[in-house]
Amino acid sequence: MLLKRWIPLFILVFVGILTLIHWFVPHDPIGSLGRDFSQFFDIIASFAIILGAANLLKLQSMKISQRKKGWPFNLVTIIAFALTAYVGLNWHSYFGGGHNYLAGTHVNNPDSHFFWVWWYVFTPLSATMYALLAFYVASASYRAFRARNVEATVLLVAGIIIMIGRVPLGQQFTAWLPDSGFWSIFRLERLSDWIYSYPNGAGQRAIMIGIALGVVSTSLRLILGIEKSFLGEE
Amino acid sequence: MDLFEKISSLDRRWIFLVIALSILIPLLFPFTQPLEVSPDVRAVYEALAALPEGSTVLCSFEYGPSTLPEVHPMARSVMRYLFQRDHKVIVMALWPDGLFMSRDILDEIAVGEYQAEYGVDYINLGYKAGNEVVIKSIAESFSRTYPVDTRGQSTTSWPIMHGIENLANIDFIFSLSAGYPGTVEWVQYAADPYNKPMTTGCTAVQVTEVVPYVRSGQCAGILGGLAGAAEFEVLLMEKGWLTELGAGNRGMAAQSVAHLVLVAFIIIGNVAFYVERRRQRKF
Repeated sequence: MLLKRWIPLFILVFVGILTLIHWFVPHDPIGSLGRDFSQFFDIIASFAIILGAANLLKLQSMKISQRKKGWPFNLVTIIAFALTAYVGLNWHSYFGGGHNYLAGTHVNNPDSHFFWVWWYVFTPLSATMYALLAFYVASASYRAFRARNVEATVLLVAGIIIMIGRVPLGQQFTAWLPDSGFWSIFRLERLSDWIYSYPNGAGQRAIMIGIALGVVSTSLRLILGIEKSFLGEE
Repeated sequence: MDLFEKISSLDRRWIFLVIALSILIPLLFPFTQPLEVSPDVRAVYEALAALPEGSTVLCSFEYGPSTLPEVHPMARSVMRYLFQRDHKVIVMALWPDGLFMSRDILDEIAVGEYQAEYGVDYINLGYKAGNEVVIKSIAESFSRTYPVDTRGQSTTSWPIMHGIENLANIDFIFSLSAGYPGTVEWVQYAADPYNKPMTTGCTAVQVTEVVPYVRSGQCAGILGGLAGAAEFEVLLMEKGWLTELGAGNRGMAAQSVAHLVLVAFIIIGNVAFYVERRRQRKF
């Protein structure tokens, strides 16, 4: 109980209150403690990478051992992970000889194996995955983007104006309208800017303020010890 | 099966084929189009132009290979402009991929085109885990956050870092962003609390969330997606900072055609949907 509940709760309340106070009392020792806690986050975030890697290996291994559907892909993931980790952790892993890189700097050196893996394997794969989105977006838009009711029609019209108004070829449709004066507001590029700035801006602000209020209330619940879900409690 | 039913149940492979052709053909046979520079892109230029020569500019790379075609062209243009005006450029990354993106840009522009000297004209601090906490951390101290640079040498040993203790010593922030952490975090944790001028170049999908900060004046303008990159190239050429248009404009031909084809598909799909719905109501 002490280890699983009270100590984590004490750490959270102590760090939370002190981090909050250091914004209002920047003098030492509160100020320096608040700054140190920020550094602690960096260190914890770095260790979280190890946790993520362990979790990945555990999940993939389980799927392979249980021979779940598509398990060879899980095997490929583990092999790719092991190879990348090897060339990443071994700073002597490079093409040619005569190099003496410092640990950590080799990842950014074109002679290193890690750099090769990143630039010639990960980069094209990542770009390809993202590029495929264009095809699926096109197919999904064709099938699902329907003017079924008033709200959907407003969304459809706004989407079309932005898609046409953001590209020069589309802007040519209303290029005959004057550059200034009342009618200029109907030029597609101006309409798309207006949609970005006002309807979208208003909606985004509402979402942002809502999120901020949610974060404040959740943080207060955590700091005051009301919210205990992070301890695995209801 | 009549025409409208055929349209409604069109095999998606036809859509894939048309989209592929609409992107490939303009990429293989590019054409230039007149481009109107938007006020947001002008605002980015004006914010950069307002900096006196030799200012210290912090450039943060928050994108990876997936968004490289969108953000890389604007990163190139911005770097060209910064080095031409003899600004000191401090580069860092909030994304692990950003380290490689920044290296690629610096090799091409700083080393390849301007023969800039590492540690004097520019420095690459690299990636640091921690997202927005890294921003808060450099607001306190660069040397504590980045004790060494990407070459493994002490950050404070380089001339460019002399007199640069923390964010207060930075004149301008440029965020090249494709998501979280990115432009929004730079506004919230650096530009606004420390009253630092900043601007951004980001992906088109990110524009919607950054626009409120641009309208409020917390972020000076925005280069939004490939269109923003293309407009910025046109503007830099107008002002005499570029001699030829770059990848932003080359890509716009493909993007223009692809957008129009996509809109055409949506309109055709809706016409078929409307006709079918009317028929169903009749019977």
